[in-house]
Amino acid sequence: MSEIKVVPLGAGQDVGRSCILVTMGGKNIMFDCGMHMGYSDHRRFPDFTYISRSGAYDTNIDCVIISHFHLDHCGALPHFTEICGYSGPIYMTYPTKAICPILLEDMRKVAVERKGETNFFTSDDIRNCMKKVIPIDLHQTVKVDEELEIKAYYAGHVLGAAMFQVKVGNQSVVYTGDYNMTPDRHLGAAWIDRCRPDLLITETTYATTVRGSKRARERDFLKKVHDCVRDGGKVLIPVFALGRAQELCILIEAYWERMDDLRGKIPVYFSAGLTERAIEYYKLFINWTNEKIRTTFVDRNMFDFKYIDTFQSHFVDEPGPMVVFASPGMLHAGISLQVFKKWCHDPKNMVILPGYCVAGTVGAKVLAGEKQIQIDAHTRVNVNLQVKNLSFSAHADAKGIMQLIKMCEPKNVMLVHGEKSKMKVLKRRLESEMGVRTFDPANGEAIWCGGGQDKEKTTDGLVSGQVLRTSWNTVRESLLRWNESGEPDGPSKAAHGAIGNSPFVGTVLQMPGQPLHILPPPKGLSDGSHRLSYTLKKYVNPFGDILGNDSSEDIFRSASQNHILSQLSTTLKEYLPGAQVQYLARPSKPTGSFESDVILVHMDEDGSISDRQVSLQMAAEPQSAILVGWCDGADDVAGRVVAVLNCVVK
Amino acid sequence: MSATERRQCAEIISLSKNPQFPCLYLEFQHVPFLLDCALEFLRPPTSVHNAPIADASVKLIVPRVSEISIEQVDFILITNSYNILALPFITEYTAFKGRIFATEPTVEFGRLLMEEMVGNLSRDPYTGVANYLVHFEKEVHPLYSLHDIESCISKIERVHYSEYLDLGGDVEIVARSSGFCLGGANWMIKSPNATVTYMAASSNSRIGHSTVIDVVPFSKTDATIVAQLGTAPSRPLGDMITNMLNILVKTLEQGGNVLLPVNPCGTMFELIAIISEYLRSCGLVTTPIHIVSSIAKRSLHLANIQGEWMSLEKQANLYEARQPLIHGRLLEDKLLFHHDFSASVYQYRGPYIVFVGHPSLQAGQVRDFLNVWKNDPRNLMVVTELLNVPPVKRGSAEIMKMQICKCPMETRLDLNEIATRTNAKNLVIPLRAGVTIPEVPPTLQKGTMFTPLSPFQSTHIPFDRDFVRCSVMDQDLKDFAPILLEAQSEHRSVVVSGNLLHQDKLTCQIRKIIAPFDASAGRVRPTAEEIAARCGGEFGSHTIHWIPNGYVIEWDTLRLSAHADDFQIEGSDMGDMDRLRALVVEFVKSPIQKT
Repeated sequence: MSEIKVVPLGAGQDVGRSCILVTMGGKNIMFDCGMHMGYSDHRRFPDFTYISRSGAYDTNIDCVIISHFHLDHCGALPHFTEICGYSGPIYMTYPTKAICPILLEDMRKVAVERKGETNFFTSDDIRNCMKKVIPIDLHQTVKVDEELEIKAYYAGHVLGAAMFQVKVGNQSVVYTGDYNMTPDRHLGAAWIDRCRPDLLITETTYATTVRGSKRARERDFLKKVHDCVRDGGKVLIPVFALGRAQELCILIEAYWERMDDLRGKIPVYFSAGLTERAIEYYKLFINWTNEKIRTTFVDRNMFDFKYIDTFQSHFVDEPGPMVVFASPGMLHAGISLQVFKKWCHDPKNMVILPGYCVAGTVGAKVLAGEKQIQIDAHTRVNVNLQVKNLSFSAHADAKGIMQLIKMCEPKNVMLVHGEKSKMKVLKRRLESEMGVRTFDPANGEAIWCGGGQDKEKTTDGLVSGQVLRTSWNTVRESLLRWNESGEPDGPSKAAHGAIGNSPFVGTVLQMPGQPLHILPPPKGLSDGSHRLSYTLKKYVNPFGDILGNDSSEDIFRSASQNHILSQLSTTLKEYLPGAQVQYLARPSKPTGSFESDVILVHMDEDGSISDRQVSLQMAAEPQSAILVGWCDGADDVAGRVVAVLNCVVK
Repeated sequence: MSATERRQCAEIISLSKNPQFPCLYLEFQHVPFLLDCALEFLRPPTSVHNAPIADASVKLIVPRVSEISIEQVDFILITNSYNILALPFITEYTAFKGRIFATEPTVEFGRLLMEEMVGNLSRDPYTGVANYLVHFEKEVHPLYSLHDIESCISKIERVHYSEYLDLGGDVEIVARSSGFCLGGANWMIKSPNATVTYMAASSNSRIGHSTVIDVVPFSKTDATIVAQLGTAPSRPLGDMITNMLNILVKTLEQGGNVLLPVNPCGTMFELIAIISEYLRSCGLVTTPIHIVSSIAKRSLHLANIQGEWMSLEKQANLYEARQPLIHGRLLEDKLLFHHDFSASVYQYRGPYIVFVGHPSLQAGQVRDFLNVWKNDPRNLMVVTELLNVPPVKRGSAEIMKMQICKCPMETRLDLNEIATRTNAKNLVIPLRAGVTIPEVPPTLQKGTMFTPLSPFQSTHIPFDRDFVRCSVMDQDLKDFAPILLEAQSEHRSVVVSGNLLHQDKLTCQIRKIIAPFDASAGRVRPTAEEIAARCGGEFGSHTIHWIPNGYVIEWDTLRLSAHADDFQIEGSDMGDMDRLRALVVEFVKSPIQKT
């Protein structure tokens, strides 16, 4: 089994331009194709020359998978497909496919029309790029080709965000994108099954944070907003148009409805443009929101806001308190930056940065407490307003990351989309607390895992039913003599335990592209290992020997023989304190035919069921006889059991 | 039948008398399934023209699950929202405790149809009593309640198309689009030994809004069971629709009303789109459409959030932030209205186009409109549904003067179309009770067995293969890799021995290679005579019995059975047993060559 190779082209020990290359079983998969918000030069896009210097992307990449619509995860996609020329398959969920072109177009406008950049992809590029996208549904297994399979899981980060599992042969990798392990007001929590991937690539935005209760954070946020507007200040909340914005709007809407001094008195605005269309998408993809919204949408759509109006640019100069949601979230361009420029001088005002800000953006500088900020070539502003940071981003915190690891039980973990120093801390923690091998490569640095070092690794095989039955029967007939009456349902659960380890002989057949077949051995073949088994018949007098003075009525109940056996089991436990004595009751059968319960005695110290085991059951004929059965190798145990029997049965 | 034989076949029993209301039992390699759970609607055998409107002799029939042990059934698979309507009887009134799978739209529309059924049938506004009889386990039972529906729905696990579900025991299931309605599914049940496909109502018609049919279920399977077959229409559906639209517009122009008795979902969405578009093209730009049903509002909204389950053409609307189905815009433009009760329709101006249930005309608010409209020959009734069709006969118009236009929206594949497409080894067709066994369809593929199945009868489909999935330790394989490679290059088989570990799953540990097998090198086993001779008279006199591949030697108190390489000693004296053992071991270790 070849190793899995992973190289982050972006998001390695960093946040921004997520792009991770995975090579497994001869397939190359690109997870996300994002752009970096902190740069406007070539560093904005991942270094695609790593894949191919000659631009042969189609031969070097089998598919591209986009986890969600945030630009640091999909922003470079039109560049990669239309300018670099990748034309292979691209996968994303339905909402991502619907929403990501709007964000791309918005970003393009800011870059080209406001900043005057050239050499940027065009609207047509975005359109053509999106035509190549194959939408996929949650949990649907999509076969990219004969060997490569992908499957999406709910990630709960933004509408349509997904985690992706990629499988080639026996190996699999899960890439989380961004995810959130706690359900919020409009999305559910991330979920994945116990798929045991060879590698889990997880985001680590909040690698070292353990966030307190969500309620407390919400209360805190609302209180800050309330305090500020009561004192006549203006509140600016930079948000990405889609995602947290909806969450905060739902929160504010509910608060305004409750508060008499706010409702109808303090205006709340949302910078339009994207938003109205965005809300339409939330209504169309209501199935991707949380259960509560889904079940109530017919009568009351949560995304129809009563107290939140569309922002118009002249509102910014109006007097009096107000609350404005404006995009983008990192204050690096657009309306949020314009509003910030106007309001940042006044200490009565407040900016609440609910998200994470990439290094280099105005948002990050504001958070760092810089008092004078160069916004662009001509503008330098004094920052006097109150700056608050509230962790409302829908990312998993340290607890959430570990929760996800427990959910899917990966063999290796790789950390991306976080800060270098915090990753180190989390890496140590995962390795010591969870004992899972963890990697945190930088951009362009390759890691390998999941190769030959794994002793537990298995290959899929198919055993012929005949081989299996012969194998079972060997054990069953000789050890337990279990199935004499031809029980139609096959061995019961208890019997499964007893025959949990059975010897077999078979012919191995290996064909390319098929699981390993184990067929019946050629006729007449002997493997030279003869097996010997024994059955000793011991006659007992139930009244005198075992049951003593027990009332005779008990004996003549229908299960009288089993009654003898259960007494015997107690006796054996008493006489053989070092042995494991197991009493297996047979399920009662309506047919009336007698089937004895079974006592299993073994003396292995580890308690495992093995060949070194002796079984006791009542004979069918005569009914007062006990059958003691064992195989070669269990003579000593058998000897002791028979000795006990001889002792109690005079 | 022994476990050995059962492992290699599937057993199928049809549990309903009418395959248009399917319910089948499938035992697939020991794993018992129930396929669909439809509620049969049996109307009285009278024509709508002279039937009294408040006829109370409608019967609802729950599939006859008493034919099987319902408590043993592990899984229920549902194909579409029409075939789920008897499910609350199973989940709430039997000992069933297995898992149920269906797609999201099937569950949601199923829930609405159940609620509609409760609304329409449990209380009869004309007679005031609950006189619709549900026949369930040989008793007459009241219809389920809203509470039963809620409880039943909460037990269903929702799946997506192409979502592979491992059910354990080597069995895997997957739903594939049937193309018939939103979320309509055909199920494939697979193991390493066989694939059985269950198809109900499948459509590859251009008319429709759901995801196109997935053709994978037509590929080679061991058995394909097909219920809810279509009937080949007498005229192309397109022509019938055009004709219907012409009559409809003519009716409106003459001031007549149009009544469409339908289920408030499924083809109704299609009809709304077709009719509204045609009205617009005829210049009737302001004529609204009315839907009367307590669930109409939810149904219309629900359909438009199921974009993922629609055809590519409808999905294209999603990316433009438009509602995928046209009725969303009609609602906003006030060209479509939904009403909980029939009376509120008359607040608007006529003539009216009204969609209302129940399609059989035997129940529901459709009777309010019939009562008022039936005697006016200007009015029109359009019959479009496929199930529960009212028995309309021509020439008996004395009581009912209303015009009737039949336009069954038959988009389903019929038997011949299925037979042309499927490569199944066995094509199993459940039959209606009392019909003669149909002829083999002429389009049947070579190599396909045609298996008609009468109600409550069972059929067995044998499987060719008999394997159990296992994992082989890579470490083991690596150790033997050179030998395996060498043997394979010489086309010799490699015989191995080892252990089978049966824990969570089967693991195969290869312990020893018994060398590439060479048939001439078989070992010789001690014969019965040799052993008996060696024992002399030590244990008394002996008798020898021959059994397949072995023998049994019996002494007075001792018995030796040899079966291939297994020897079993039975006795009542430990000492005798030990002595016999020593003898056998001696033989085994140094087998005496035959001379």
